[in-house]
Amino acid sequence: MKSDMGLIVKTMARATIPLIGIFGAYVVSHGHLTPGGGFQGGATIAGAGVLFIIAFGVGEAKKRINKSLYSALEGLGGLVFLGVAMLGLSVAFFYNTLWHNGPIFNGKPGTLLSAGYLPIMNLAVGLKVYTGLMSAVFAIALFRRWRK
Amino acid sequence: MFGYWDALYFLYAFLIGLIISYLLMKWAEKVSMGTRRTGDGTKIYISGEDQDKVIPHFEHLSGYFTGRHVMWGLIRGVHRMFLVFRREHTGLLTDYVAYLLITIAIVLGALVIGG
Amino acid sequence: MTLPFLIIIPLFGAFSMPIVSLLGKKIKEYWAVIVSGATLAVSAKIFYTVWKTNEIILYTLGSDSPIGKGVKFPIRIVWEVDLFGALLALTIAFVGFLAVIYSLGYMKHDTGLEKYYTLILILELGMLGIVITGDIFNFYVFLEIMSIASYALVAFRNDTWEGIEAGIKYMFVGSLASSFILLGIALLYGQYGTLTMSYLAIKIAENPTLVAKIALAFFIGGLLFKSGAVPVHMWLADAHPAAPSSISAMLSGLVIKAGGVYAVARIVFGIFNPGLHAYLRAFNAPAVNMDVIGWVIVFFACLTLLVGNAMAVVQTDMKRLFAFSSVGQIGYILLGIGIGTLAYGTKAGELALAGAIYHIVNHALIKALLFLVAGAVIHQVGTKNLNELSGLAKKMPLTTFSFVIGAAAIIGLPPLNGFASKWIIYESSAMYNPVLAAIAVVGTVFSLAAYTRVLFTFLGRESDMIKEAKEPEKSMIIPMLILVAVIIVMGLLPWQISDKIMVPTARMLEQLNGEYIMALLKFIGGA
Repeated sequence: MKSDMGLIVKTMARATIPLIGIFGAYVVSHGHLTPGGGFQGGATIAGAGVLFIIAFGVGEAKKRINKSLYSALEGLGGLVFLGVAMLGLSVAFFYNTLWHNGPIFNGKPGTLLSAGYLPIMNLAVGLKVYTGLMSAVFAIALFRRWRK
Repeated sequence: MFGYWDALYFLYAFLIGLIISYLLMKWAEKVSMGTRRTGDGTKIYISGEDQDKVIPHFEHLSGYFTGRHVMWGLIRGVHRMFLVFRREHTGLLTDYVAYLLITIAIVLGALVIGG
Repeated sequence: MTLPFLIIIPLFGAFSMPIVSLLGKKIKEYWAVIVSGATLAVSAKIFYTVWKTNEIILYTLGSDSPIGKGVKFPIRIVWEVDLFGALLALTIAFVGFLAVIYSLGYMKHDTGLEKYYTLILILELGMLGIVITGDIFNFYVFLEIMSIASYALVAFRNDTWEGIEAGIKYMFVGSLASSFILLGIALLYGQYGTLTMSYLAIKIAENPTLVAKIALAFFIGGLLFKSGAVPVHMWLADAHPAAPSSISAMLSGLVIKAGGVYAVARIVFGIFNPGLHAYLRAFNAPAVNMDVIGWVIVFFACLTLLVGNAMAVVQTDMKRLFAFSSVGQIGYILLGIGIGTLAYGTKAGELALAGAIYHIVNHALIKALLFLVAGAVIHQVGTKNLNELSGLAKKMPLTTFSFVIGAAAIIGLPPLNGFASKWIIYESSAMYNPVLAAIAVVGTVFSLAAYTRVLFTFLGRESDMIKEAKEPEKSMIIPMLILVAVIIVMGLLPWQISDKIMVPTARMLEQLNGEYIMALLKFIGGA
C-alpha cells in the first residue's frame, strides 16, 4: 500500500513545511514578548512534522526520523529547563537570577535578549514539545493493526 | 493513651457475639418447621431434605440439624447478597461517568442545602 | 534548603532517563534505583527536620518571599510542608524505592523499560509534589502529572486487553474527575482571586459564599473518585489488577492516598478549616457548615468500607481481591477524616485524625507488600486465579510468609502495625458514635473472611499449576522482606509511634491555632 500522497500535496508540503517551521521558531523565540511560547511554538513546529509524515508517508518518515535521537532530545529539553530553574537555587528554586544579576538575557524589557531564564526555558520547552509530539504522532502512525 | 489490654474488648465483644448467635440458633430451631437434630455432619440443603438442592458455593458446609431450618434462610440471604456482588464486572464507561456525576451531585446537594 | 531537591531529583532522573538509557541496558535500571534512593534520603531528611522542629516549612518558588512587590498578599507559588505532608513524602519515597528495586526482577522480560522507569519516577514526582505543595493550582498540576503517569502505567502491558481497557476507562473518567477539581479551583480563583491555600482559607473565612461551597463539593466529589470511595470505586478494581504488580503496589499503596485522601484532608482542614467556621458560626457570622461535609465523608466512608471489604470476599482473582480490599481500607481512612471533621477540637476528633494518618502509612506499607507478593506469584506461576494456586506454601515459603504477615497486618491482628491504627479508628469512632464503630468492625469481619480465603489457598493441597514454582529472585524477595520487617517493627511499637508521630501530625493538620495559615501570615505581617 502506498502511504504517501500525490504530487500536488507533496509540492505544497515542500513549500509550506519551512514556513510553518519558521513561524513556530518565531513563536518559541518570542515567547516572552508575544502571545504563545515554548509549548505553542513547539506544537506548531510539530505540525510541520505531521505534515511531513502525512504528505510523504510513514515509509519516508521512517528513514529520516531517528526515534532514539528524538527521545534523547526530549530528555535534553527537560534537563535544560530543570537546569535553568536550578540556576538561582541559592535564593530559591525557579529564582530568575539571570534577569536580576546575570551575564546574559538581562536587557531592557521588551527586547529579545531580556527576561532572564524565560527565553532559555521557552527554547527548552519548545524542543521538548516538538520532539515529544513528533514521537507520539510517529508512534501512532506506525501502529496500524489493520495492515497485514 | 491505651495499651494492649484494650484488646480484651475484642474478647468481650466476641463473647457477646457468641451469646447472641446461640440465642439466634435457639430461636431459629423453635420457629423452623420440621427441624430435628441428626448429629454432627449433616449436609445442608436449601429446602431442608431435598438432596438435589445444595446451596451453591456452600457445598462444603455441614451442620447439625435437618429440616427447614431458619438459619439456612439466613445463609441463603447472605449468599444471594454475594451473588449480586459477584455479578459486578468491569462496567461500561458511561456507568462510571454516571456514578461519578451522582456522587458529585450528592455532595453538592448536601452542601448547598445544609452547608 | 533541601526541600526543592525532593522535586528536582526525581524530575532530573525522569528527564535524563532517555539519555541514560542510550548508554546501556543495565544502566537505566541502576539509574532509577539511584534516583529513587536519593529521593528517599531527601524525604527522610525533610521529615526529620519538620518532626524535630515541629514547624511548618514554607518555601517560595522564584523568590525569597511569597508576597508580591508592592502588594500585601501572596502571589507566588509556595510549598508548605507540615508534618502530614512530610510523613507522606517519606512513605511515598520509601514505597517507591522498594517498587523500583522490585521492578528490576519483575519487569526483566518486558520491553520499553526506559519509558517504564521514566513514568515510575514521574509518578513518584507527582505524588511528592502533591504532598508538599501549598498552592492549589500547583496541587492540580501535580495531581495531573500523577494521574497521567498512572494512566500510562496501568496500560503499560499493552499486549493484554485488560490493561488497555482499564487504562482507557481510568483515563476518561479520571480526567472528568480532574476537571471537576479544576472547576472547583477556577471557581475559588474567580471568587477570591488567590490560589495560595492558606491565604484562600483566610479569604473564605472572611466571605464564605455559595461559590465556595460549590467549589468544596466539586473538590470532595472529584477527590472521592481519585481515592476510590464506593460509588466511584470501579476504576480502581479494574486498573489496579491490570497494572504490573510493582505499579499496583504504588497505585494501591500511594496514589489513592496522596491524590485522594491526603488531598481531601488538606482541603477540608487547610482551606475550609472546621474550627474556623465553627468559630464564625458561634458569632452568627456567615460560614460554611463543615458538619455537613463531615457527614458526607462519613457516609461515603461507611459505604466504602462495607462494600469494598464485602466485594473482596467474592473475588477469585488475587489482585482484584487486594484492590477491593484497598477500597475497604480507604473507607477506614475516610471514616477517620470524617470523624476528625465532625468532632473537630475534641479528643475523639484528634484521635480519629491520628488514626486516619496512621492507617494511611500502615496501609501503604501493607498493601504494597501484598501486591508485591501477588506479583511474585504471577511472575513465578503465571496465574493469579486463586482456584489454581493452592499449596504455594511449600514451594514458595518466603513469599507465603510475607503474605501471612501482610494479611494478618491488614486485618489488624495485634502484634502487627495494622492493629494500632484500626484500633485508634474504632476507639475514636466509638467515642463519637458507636454505630460507626459497629459498621467499621463489620467491615473488618468481611476483610477477615476475604484474607482467610487466600490464606487457605496458599496452605491448601498442591495443585498442578505450581509443580514447577520456586522462589523468585533476590531483587524481588528483598523488598518484600524489608516491608515485612518494617511492618513487624512498627507493630512492636504501636503506641510510641502513635504518640510521637501520629498525634503531633494530627494536631498539625487540625491546626487548632491556625498554624498552617500563620506560617504564611508571618510574611504578610500582622493582617
